[in-house]
Amino acid sequence: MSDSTAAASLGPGLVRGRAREWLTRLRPRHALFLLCLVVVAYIVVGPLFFLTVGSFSTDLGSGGLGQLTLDNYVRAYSDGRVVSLLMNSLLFSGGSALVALVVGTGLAWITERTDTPLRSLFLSMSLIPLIMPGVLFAIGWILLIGPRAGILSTWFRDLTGLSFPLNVFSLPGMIVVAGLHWAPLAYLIMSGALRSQDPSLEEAALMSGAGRFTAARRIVMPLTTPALMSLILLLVVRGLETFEVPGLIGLPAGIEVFSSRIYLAVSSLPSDFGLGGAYAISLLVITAIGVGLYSRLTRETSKYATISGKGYRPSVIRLGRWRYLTTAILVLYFGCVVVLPALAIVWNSFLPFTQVPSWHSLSTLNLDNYRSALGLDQIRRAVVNSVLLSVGSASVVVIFGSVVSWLVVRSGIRGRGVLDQLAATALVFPGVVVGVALIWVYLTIPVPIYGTIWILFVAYLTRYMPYGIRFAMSSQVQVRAELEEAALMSGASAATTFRRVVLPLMFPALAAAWVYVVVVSMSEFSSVVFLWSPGSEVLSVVLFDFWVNGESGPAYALGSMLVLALTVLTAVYQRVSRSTGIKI
Amino acid sequence: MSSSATPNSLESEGAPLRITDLTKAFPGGPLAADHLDLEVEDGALFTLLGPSGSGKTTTLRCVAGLETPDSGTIAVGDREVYSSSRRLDVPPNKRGIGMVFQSYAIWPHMTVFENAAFPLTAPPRRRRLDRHEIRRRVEDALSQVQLSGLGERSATKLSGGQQQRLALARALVMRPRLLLLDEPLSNLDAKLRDDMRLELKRLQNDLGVTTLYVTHDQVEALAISDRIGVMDSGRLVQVGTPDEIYLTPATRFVAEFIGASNFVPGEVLGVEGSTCVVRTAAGSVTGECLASVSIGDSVVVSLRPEMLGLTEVSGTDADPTWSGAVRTRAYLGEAVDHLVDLAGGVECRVRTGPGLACAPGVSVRVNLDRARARVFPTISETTPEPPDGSDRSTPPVAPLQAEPPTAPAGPRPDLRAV
Repeated sequence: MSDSTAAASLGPGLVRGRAREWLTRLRPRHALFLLCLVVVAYIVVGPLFFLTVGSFSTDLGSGGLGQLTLDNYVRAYSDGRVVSLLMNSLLFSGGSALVALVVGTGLAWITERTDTPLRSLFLSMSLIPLIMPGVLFAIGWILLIGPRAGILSTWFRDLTGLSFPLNVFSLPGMIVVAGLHWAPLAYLIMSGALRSQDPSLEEAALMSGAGRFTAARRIVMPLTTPALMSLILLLVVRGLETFEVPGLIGLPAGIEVFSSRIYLAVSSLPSDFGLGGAYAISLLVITAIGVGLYSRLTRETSKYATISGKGYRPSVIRLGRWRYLTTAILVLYFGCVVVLPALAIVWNSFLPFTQVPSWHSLSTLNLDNYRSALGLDQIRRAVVNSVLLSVGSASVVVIFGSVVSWLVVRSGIRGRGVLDQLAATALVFPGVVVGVALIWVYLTIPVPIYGTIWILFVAYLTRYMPYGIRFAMSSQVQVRAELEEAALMSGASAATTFRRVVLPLMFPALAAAWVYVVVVSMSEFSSVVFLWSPGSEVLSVVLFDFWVNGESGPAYALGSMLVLALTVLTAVYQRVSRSTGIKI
Repeated sequence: MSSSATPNSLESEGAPLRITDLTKAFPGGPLAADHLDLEVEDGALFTLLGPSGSGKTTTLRCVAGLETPDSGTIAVGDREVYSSSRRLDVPPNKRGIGMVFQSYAIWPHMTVFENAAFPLTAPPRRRRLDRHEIRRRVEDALSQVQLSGLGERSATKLSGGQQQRLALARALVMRPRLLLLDEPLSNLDAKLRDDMRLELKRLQNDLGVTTLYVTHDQVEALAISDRIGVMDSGRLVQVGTPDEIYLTPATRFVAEFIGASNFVPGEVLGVEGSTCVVRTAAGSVTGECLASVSIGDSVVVSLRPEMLGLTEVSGTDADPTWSGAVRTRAYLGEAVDHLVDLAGGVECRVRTGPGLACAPGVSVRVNLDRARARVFPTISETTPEPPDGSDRSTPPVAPLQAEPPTAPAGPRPDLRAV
């Protein structure tokens, strides 16, 4: 006891002793804080800075920034197509948000507030649609409702003699496909909002004499409005940043939005990074405004926090005969967002060339595509690279995130808010912007990772680090401070406390976060499409590349295998997250 | 439970706790501790009692080392653990102080045994006790809190009361010289709270560990403490034994916070030593005054409802002083609360035994013979907010000195509802 007193005491009050004491006591955690701050700043501020400067600079190609100029912006906006570009972008993102919102909210109401059969099965599968990579989803829907050889459109034509009412290669087609792709996300958020609402609020309205419909209109809807508003903004921002549908459907159809225009500028020969930068900055500004609104709205949501946590389930509406209709809607939805596009790809993966299913085509089924896919170096490299990048970035993101979250939540260091804010800023970056910005960074600064797998690694970190931090923070907050303090009071050192109390309690949540990052980074597309090069391919860009170049057979085979792998991963994720109660 | 018969492995050498001139402010907030001086004798149970925000928990956490004070000294026994002048701040894990948290802070990923054994397994392996000794000590601690045989159970499977006991076992297993209890009973239901209160007192007595106890519940404080310090805005406004605090509150704040009081405004007619006569609208009354009260001063007289009596009078009784009609009454079981409208618009609450109750409408005189009235100056005392969790309109039954009181456990009736 007495020696620990001596160790903690400062000695006879020398000024030098005090300074030394300050250093010995505060250095480790402050050094850690500084390190994290530098890393986050490098990841967030670096790309932003170089992208901004680059968009105002004359030339890159040779490596290095040229002279300051407004030329890029002039070229970007003097183009006669700028009005249609803006219109298309807003219509596409707004329209797909609307589709996702209507579908997602309707389903949420069906599963949360009605006695529709199958809803519990549906709930347990609600995460599955989220894993479908955007590239595959778009390809699947082209196979389904392509104007000439789409499976559904052909069947429709054969049955009715009319042409299928929706051509996928059009703005409405893009809106529907992207909207369906976001619908599972909208569903998750809206069902969460409905579930967390204290049912007694609605019951009080019923007891006051309001009917079910009035209660829904005057109580449930207003209480859901904040969630609804923030969901709309989230969807609009996603619609602005996505490149999957605009690239695979929009470009062949000649419908350009910001993300595909950036892609065209950068992938043209010679690459026009300046023009791409100007568009990217424009997109970033629009997105930032959206995210700013979004965070403002979600902040106000806390006013409406009506979570009772008592586990009462609101009484469900008995639908009677109508429940057959709602069941049909559930089945149809699940078919549209998972089964049909996946089946279309799997079906075609066994065929020598794209065909509509028929008795005749059955006889041509074979495994050639799988054989050739597995035989291609490119694909083998892509598999290895994707696995390495996903596992590597997920591990780094989760470990780094848990350190940062501890610093922000528990360390009490002054300035920890800056770290939090900075990390949250990265949430604003659309994937295409990250891609273009990183080109600027690594063509300018003397870090030779351009054209290697490492620049992809940096892109993944930039994309997923903020999510890792959020995840870790939410689980860190759940580990109440008193649990840590009790260990300290029991005589455990800070390190022992972290090892024996904090880490074990956070572990399940961190594991869930890890699997989540692995799954989503496996299908990361909009940033890597700018950054890959031969040798550093990943699955999504190989799929895209094969498809665009007409070698669709191996792409289908690869896509089928990818869906299978991601389904397994998600099953693991659901097991883990169910035991921890952590959701995305 | 024959801890006195067998040598107890948990028995500790208590050490006095001495806090000198402790000051702690939170940025932008009021002082949580304002030049606080406090001494807890060896083996005694001292309670910091006060409304929420009075700084009692902050003071406790400063002793624990979980908060760093701005200035002052904290010593456990002859060992200083914090001293601003010596720039000494022993980290919490080196202080050897046991603590029970308000939320219990039971680690959900460990078994009952592992939770209780943690303080013994926290040091590096070479400084640990040997395995058998650890097992013996932990089992001893678990049996002390009546959790024997539950060691292998997952800690989350315990009920609230059991978690509370486990938290206590964990705090005691390291034989602390000082035990800190932060509102340990506030999360239990009323019946369990009464049981645990006695249990805590018994354990503390048996083990002889010096204990600092924090609560906002005055019944709890009066029942359990050797001495009580009433806190308000970071200062100790009165320190004393439970009966001193209860019978001779030093300020109106204490009188208001502890128990229930009628406060009747009046004017001082005469002073003699520490006794003065006060004229109120209901009549005059003799009471004990503390501060320098002089003739003509405006004062309030504090009268405890349970120290007043009621006498039925006929309507023609001549003396109107301290007389009036019972407006309503509330039947509490072992007592009856009356609300009496006195002359001059004074409203007075009187508590009697159930056999002495008077029906509403009956004319009565309030008997002041054993009132032990206290007289406080009117000015310069801010009325504190009612303490959280305890309902001011419903007084507890008078908890008396040595014997733990039996508080009403059932629903407390509202006078006006009767």
